[in-house]
Amino acid sequence: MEDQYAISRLKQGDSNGLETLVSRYQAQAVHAAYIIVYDRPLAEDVVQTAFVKVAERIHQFDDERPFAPWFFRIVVNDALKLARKQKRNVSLEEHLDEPTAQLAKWLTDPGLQPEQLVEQKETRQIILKAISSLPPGQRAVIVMRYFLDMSMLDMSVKTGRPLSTIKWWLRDARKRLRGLMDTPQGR
Amino acid sequence: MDNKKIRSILRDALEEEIPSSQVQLWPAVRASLVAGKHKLVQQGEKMNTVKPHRIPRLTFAISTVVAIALLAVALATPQGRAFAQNILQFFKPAESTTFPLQPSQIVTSEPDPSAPTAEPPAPLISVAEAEAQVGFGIAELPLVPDGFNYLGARLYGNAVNIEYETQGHGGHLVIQQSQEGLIQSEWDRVPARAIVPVKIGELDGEFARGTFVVYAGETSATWNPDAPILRLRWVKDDVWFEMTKYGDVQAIEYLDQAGLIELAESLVIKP
Repeated sequence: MEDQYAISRLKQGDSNGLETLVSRYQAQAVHAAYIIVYDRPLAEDVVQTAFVKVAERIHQFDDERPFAPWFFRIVVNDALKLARKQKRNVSLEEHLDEPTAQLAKWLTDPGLQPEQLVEQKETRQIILKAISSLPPGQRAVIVMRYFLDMSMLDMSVKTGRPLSTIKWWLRDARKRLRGLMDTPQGR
Repeated sequence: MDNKKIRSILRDALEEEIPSSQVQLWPAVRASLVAGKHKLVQQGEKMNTVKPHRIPRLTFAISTVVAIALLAVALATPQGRAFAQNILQFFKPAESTTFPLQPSQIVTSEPDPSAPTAEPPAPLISVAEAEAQVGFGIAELPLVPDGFNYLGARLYGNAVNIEYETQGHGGHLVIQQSQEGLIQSEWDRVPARAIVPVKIGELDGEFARGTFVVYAGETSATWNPDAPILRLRWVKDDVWFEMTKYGDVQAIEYLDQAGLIELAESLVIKP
């Protein structure tokens, strides 16, 4: 069942339409929410609630537009609100080991040398852990750009940060991540 | 490195952290829609028979006591146990949100002095005594959860209940363990939409909120998804576990689905 057909069924009051959308997007949505709240049960709660909102608001949805961006905006919004409420962003100094803390800083601080950050660590896990130490707003930016493939303009609107800030931050992060992944330790 | 590679790394990391195959939200989404009386599930699933969310506290208390008493009776009866190990189904799905009562189970608004009273609960014993009776190690919580007092263990056949009570009464936490499966009486069943698959550490389990209740004067039991009864079921090392929180006392309000899972993960068999 295509998204449009599922949405059409949902608008007619058929729960199979919603079940199709849940089945299609649940995993990706939980992953996105997890990056922001860093707690699996909370991430699942966020996505579950988002699907309920979809059911409640489906009549406001414009059939001519793609479903995924509309839905993921709900997920990211709710996850961000929850993360800020829970204040789950951990202190770098208190909770992270040294390489991870440095990588976290590297994501926002252009002064660090990423090549030195990944010794004896699995890069993917380091990246996830590093992202977890960022403030919720910055985690949401990472999700929006690298996971949900949102445009920088959309991200700027979404986060309320100037476009120039988003551009600079992502350009720098990409450049340094490239450097990190090209080192033998990062492969 | 381009965006695609970064995206790929992130997705791989997340897939490793939360495998997509383990994300099954539809039962929980449906449960939320049912609880919220969304017309979507009312239309699609003919859920119009669901009772109002808020029921009078006294009526609910009576209903809950009856339900618990019936559960206790069922526990004490070997015939009341169904073994679901072969299908790994922790809660047996109820076919409907109502089921008819036996004449003896019907609650009247006025107590009938001639009616038989529910059997009293089994006496409290120590965990060591319970272990000696059932012949397997009983897992315990390392600490008494916030808001509770420890009561002790009770033996129902080959099942052991470890029980806690809230300070000032009104709420309970019961951890049942048995090598013979968990009771699957009509009262224990849960509508499929209210069964939430969960993970307790690496183990699969199921969570459910709500219970069948009996309203005064009615001749059938009705599923109440808002009843403050939270159950978590799982199996570990051939022992079946059920952790149940009863009551909506403020001191234990914090103990939700995630809280129960956290407690479940902390259970240990003391040497």
